Amino acid sequence: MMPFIETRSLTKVFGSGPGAVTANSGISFSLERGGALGLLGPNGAGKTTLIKQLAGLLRPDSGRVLIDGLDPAQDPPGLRGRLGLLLEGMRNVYPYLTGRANLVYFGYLAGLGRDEAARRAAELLERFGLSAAADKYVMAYSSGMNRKLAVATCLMGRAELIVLDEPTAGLDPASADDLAGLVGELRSEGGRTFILAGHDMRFMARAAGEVLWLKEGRARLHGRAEALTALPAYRAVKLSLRGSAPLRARLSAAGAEFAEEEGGLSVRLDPSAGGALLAELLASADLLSVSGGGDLEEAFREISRDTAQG
Amino acid sequence: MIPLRAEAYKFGWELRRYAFNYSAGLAAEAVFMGGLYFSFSLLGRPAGTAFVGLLLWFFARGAMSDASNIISEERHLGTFERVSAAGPSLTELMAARLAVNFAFESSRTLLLAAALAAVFAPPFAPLLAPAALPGALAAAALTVACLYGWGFMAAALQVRWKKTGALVPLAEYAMLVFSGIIFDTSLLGGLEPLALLLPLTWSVRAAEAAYSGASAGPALAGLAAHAALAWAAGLALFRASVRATKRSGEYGFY
Ligand SMILES: Nc1ncnc2c1ncn2[C@@H]1O[C@H](COP(=O)(O)OP(=O)(O)OP(=O)(O)O)[C@@H](O)[C@H]1O
Ligand SMILES: [Mg+2]
Repeated sequence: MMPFIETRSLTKVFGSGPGAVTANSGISFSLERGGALGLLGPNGAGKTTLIKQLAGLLRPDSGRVLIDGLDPAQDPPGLRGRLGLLLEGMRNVYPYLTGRANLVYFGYLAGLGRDEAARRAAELLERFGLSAAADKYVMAYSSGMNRKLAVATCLMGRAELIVLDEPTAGLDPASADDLAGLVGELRSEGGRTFILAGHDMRFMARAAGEVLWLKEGRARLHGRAEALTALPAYRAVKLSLRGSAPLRARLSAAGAEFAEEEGGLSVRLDPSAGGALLAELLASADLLSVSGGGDLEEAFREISRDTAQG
Repeated sequence: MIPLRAEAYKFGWELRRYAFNYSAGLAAEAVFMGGLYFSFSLLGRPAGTAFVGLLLWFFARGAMSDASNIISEERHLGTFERVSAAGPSLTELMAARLAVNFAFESSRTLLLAAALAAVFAPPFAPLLAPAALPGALAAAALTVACLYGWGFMAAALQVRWKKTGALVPLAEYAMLVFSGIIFDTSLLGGLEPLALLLPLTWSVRAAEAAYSGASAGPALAGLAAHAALAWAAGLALFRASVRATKRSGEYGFY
């Protein structure tokens, strides 16, 4: 069966000559209906470029995108109203309309009738905690409120594909978790398909089913999202120890990496690799403090480093 | 699907928010247009065509600049790309906005006409005579079509070339000066054929025909040709511009 979304060697170069930027190069992936793909990668990696190509706002130089067999660059009538798009920044809603009016407007554009648009707007305002601010002008919204409203506009219609560029930018951690939960609900109940981009590793690990790691326009890794939490950097344990000569010797002998820090040593250990050494250090009288694993930002840096040459 | 309901709804909000500005703007226009009309009568221009010509020109300014303003405002707000992917195609969206706009601009023109008519009592009877009325109505409809066609051309250029907005007033004032509203186009001498490139020239001729009891046929034919060309060129140019900017990556650029 044909996948819901398919890209074939997408390439996009901006400009020409020595200043040309290769924003995408040979990107190919496919995604099944109901899936959620997270696009990750450092600034300028090509995530937004890819999203605009998926949304038909940017034409690839070569290669193509197919959504349900249709090419969005051709603006086919068969795709209209099937996409909910959130772009990065404050570029998604009208500041001189109220929050509710923005939702109703985008609902009408998506083909909803008057009653349905009003009902759906009220539901989404409630769901995103914006009911109290519903009838305020958007120019008076905080950036996080603006972002939530913008995400809500994507859910007004019956779009099957929801594409969100940096959905959690400006969201507080609880709201970001809530959004990740909502993505899960919409996938399992509504069968909607998601493409998510950004740098919020915690959100990606929770909301995306699979991740595509971009760097300098190329796809470097493509795998299940759980793989993020299996990265050594995610699981590493950081220990601070009083620096003594025997300890340094012991660490060197075990091949563990350590760094001098004020008042002692800092050691990072991947528990799967250094179980025995970890147990020994945890029992040591020199132990000052332990900080646990689970640092997804550190994992982000690790992938960025590891994919530097490729 | 042309999203009329969505655009009427959104425009309703704009109207509420800017009601004061719109009213004050219309009052200012009434003063300006009243002054122009009065000076035209001092110059000995025929009262009927001067009046109709000025109203047409008032309408033309709104109709022509609205289309390119839609593009530049969307880009300025940054919502252009978002709204382009909200369901309707960009052409459908523009059509809906221009339809709403037409309702607004024509109401403004009628209000202005009523205010000026109350003060100056220009002659309307020849326009409303049974022999002239169908031609006058057809000319009005074709003029509207021409002006929105020009608006689409301006919007097309605006998509591709951001400085277009600065040039729209040039077309607007050329229409005031060279369409036969202020002086007869025959005074342009060898340049008169250039005046025929402006749709309002033909609209003014239709009005003159109605007032003089001549046939409106030639003026209507000119207007029809203008309207067909303006729409064909406007739509083709618009699609081409959108394609080109989607390729260059400048689609959402301001
Ligand atoms: N419209 C454009 N015109 C010219 N260059 C562009 C355009 N859009 C993006 N680029 C360039 O393409 C590269 C990729 O940009 P893109 O916005 O896709 O990155 P990103 O992964 O979304 O980054 P971020 O995490 O900062 O949002 C960058 O070098 C950028 O400068
Ligand atoms: Mg980006």
